[in-house]
Amino acid sequence: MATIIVTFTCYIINMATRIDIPHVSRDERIGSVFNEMFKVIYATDNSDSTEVEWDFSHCAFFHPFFIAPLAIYKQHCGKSITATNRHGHLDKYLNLIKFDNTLDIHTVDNAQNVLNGYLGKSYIPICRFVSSSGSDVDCIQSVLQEIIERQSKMSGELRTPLSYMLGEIVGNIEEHAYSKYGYIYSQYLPSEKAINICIADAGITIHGSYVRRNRFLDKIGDNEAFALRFANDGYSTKDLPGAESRGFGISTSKRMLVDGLGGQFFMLSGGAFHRYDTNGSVFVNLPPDICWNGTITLMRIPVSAPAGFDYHKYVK
Amino acid sequence: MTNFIIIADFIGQDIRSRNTMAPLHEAAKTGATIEADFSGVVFITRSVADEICIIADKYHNLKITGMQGSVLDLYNIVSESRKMGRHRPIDTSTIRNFDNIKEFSAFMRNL
Repeated sequence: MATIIVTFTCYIINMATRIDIPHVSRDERIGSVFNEMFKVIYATDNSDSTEVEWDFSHCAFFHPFFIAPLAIYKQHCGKSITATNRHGHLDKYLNLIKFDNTLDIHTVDNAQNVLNGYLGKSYIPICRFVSSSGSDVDCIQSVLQEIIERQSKMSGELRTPLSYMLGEIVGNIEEHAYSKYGYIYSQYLPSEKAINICIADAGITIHGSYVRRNRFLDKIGDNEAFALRFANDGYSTKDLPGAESRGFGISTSKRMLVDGLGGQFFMLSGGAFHRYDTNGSVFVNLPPDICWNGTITLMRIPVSAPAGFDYHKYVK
Repeated sequence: MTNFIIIADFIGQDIRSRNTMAPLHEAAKTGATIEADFSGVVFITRSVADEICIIADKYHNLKITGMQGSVLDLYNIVSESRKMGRHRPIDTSTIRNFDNIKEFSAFMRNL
């Protein structure tokens, strides 16, 4: 009887597709980690097996912009993924950031109790929150932000801009994504003198939002990068004709971050991404075989503001 | 008779989601005179400021009081911006398209 069980176990393991997870410790220009990420996504999505083994034996450390999206993808890809060969401190690190099971923070009390334990760290774990209206998402953001500010000892004048950027990007999940959950992960990297924040959802994507509301489709068509550019130019799916007061969230946050603070911005939605940093702006339609099921925003936020930075200049 | 809503107590001091203004909308819709007191509110997003403007424009029985500091600044910016035409900073960068992984990967390496 014992022999039969062992044989069966080996069979299952042999059926699993093994994929090497690369050692991605740097993200020179924001979103460049996705070059490696897309390879993992492509290999996983195109595996014939529903069982996939991610082999971490080549890894020692991950840049936050790689590991957080990887964890979120793992939850939503529809495959059964086993993360193996997580040796020593890597296993400890993955457990601490809640790589396998993201941390649910659905109430303010829950968020405060759990996250206070991270005050002495440089990161918050990968948190999952309910993104529907009427949830405690505003208060939860306040709790998260306080932890982030204290961890990074960021300049006090950045408090309002950080509130603004978090509020607008998370607000877009609530209003447009049709995603039950949103995700947030943050890590302060002293070497970059910046806070790296990843905000994601598993929703209908920006292009999907225009399709759902039947807005601007004559201009956008099926071009997802064009939809991304429309959203970044401030064309809201919810604007009423003659009352274009919506759609400022992404564009103002992005300009405040990059033009005002010298930070970096990256947004991936469905089959397209956009990067905006001091070197310029780029929109890219991904090859047909690669897709992110939802929207993910990366922001690299310096912990001090340049002299003369004026928050109000960017919200006009 | 005026109905007072102390926003900091009823909704919060740090208000980020547009949807949080739904109770204010409902209160104004009744036709009763409403005074929404924002004393103690320390932050609102642009979206929230816009939603307050939408409600205030629609229901003249709503009076907004108590805004201070950056909350008042943002509210005034949004209120003025709504009166003027929309000026969008247009991004003229080109859109790159890729048909296969190999080309895309090469592009990403040099991006």
